[in-house]
Amino acid sequence: MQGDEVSALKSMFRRLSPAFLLAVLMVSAVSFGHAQDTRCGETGDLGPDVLRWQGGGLCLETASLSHDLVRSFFAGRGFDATAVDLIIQDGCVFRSAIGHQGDDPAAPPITIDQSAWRLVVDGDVRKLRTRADWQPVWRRLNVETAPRVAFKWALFPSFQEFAPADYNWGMITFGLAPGTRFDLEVVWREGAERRVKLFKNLECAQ
Amino acid sequence: MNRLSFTSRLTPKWPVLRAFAVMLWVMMASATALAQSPNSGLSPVMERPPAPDFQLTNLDGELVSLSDFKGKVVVVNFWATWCPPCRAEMPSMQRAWQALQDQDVMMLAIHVGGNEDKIWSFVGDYELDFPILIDPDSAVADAWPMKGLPSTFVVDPQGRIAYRAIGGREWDDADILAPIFALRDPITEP
Repeated sequence: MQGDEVSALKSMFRRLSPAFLLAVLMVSAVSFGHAQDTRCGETGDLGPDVLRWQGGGLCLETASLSHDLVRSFFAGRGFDATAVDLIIQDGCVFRSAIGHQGDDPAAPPITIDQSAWRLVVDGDVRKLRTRADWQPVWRRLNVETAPRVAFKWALFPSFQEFAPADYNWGMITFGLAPGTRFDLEVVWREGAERRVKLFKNLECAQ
Repeated sequence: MNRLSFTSRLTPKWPVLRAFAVMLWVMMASATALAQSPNSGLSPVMERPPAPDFQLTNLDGELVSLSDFKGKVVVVNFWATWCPPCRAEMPSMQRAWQALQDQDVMMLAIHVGGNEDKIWSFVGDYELDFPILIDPDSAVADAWPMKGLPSTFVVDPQGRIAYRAIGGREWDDADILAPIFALRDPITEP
C-alpha cells in the first residue's frame, strides 16, 4: 500500500470513526437490549436456573419450583397435606411463562398444544401431565371446589393460541419423581408451520 | 508518566469526551429501553362473537350482570390474587379506570375462584375502586373463550367481544385506551 493511500485511509478513519463507533455501540446496545429482553411478560424472578429461549415466534421461560414453594402455593389455595404431597411426589412442577415472541400485529399467531410435547427420561418417551390429567385425581381425593379451581387456572393451559404481545403464566407438571433429569421436546405452530425445539437435561426439584 | 502529567494531558479533551459520553449514554439507554419496552396492544377479534352474559356478586354481595351495561363499552378482566401477572397489571388497571369511567366505559374485574378475605385484602393493598366480581366455581371463566389468567376482553356496545388481551398489559397506555374509546363510535370496526 502506498504512503498516500495509507494517509487517505487514516484520514477517512479519522472522519468516520466517531460516527462508526457510535453506530457500533448503538447496534450493540440494541442487541444487548434484545438479549436481555427474553422476558415473556411479567413472570417475576424465576431464580438462577431459569431456562429462557426465544425462536420461531415462541418465547419460553421455565424453572423448576422447589418443594417449599409448591407446598406453600397449594396449601395456600386450600389443598390438604395429602394432596400437596401428591403434587410434590408426582408433579415435578415448573413455573413457566410462554407467549408470542414479538409484538408486530402482522406476525402469525403461535399455537401451543402440550399434548404434542414429549419428555425423554433415560431413553423412555413420555407425555407431561396436563390440567385434564389431574381432574380425576382431585375427584378421587374429594378435593373441594376452591383448590380445584385454583389448580386448574394455576396450571399452564394445555392448548392455547397466542397473538403478538400475548403471553401466559402458569405451572407445568411433568409428572416425574423428584430429582428426575429429562429432555423436553417442545412443539408449537407458528402460523401453519410446525416447530420443534429440544431442551436437554432439565431437572425436577429434589 | 506520573499521575499529574497524565491528567494534564487529558484535561483539554474532557469537555468533548464528556459530551460524547453523555450523548452515547443517552442513545444507548434509549435504544435499550426501546428494545425492552413491555408488551402492549389489544388483539382484534374479527368475528366479534357475542360476549357470554353472566350474573355474579360483587364484594358488597350485590348481583351484577354483563347485560346491565348493554349499550356501553365494557372491559372484562379475569384475574386471581395469586397470579403474578394479574397482580402486576392491577395498578395500571386502576389508573386506566380513572380514564375509562370519565369516558362512560365500564370495567369489571372477575376474580376466578372465591376467597373473599384475600380479595378484600388485595383490593385494599392495591387501592382498587373498580368493580370486582367473584366467580367462585369458575363457571363464568369456563364459558368465556379464555385459557389462562389474566385474560381481558373488550365488549362493544352491542355486547360483542371486540378485542382480547392474553397476559398482562399496561392498561393506561394510550395505545390500549384509544381503541377502547373508539368502540363508543358505532361505525368503528377493529
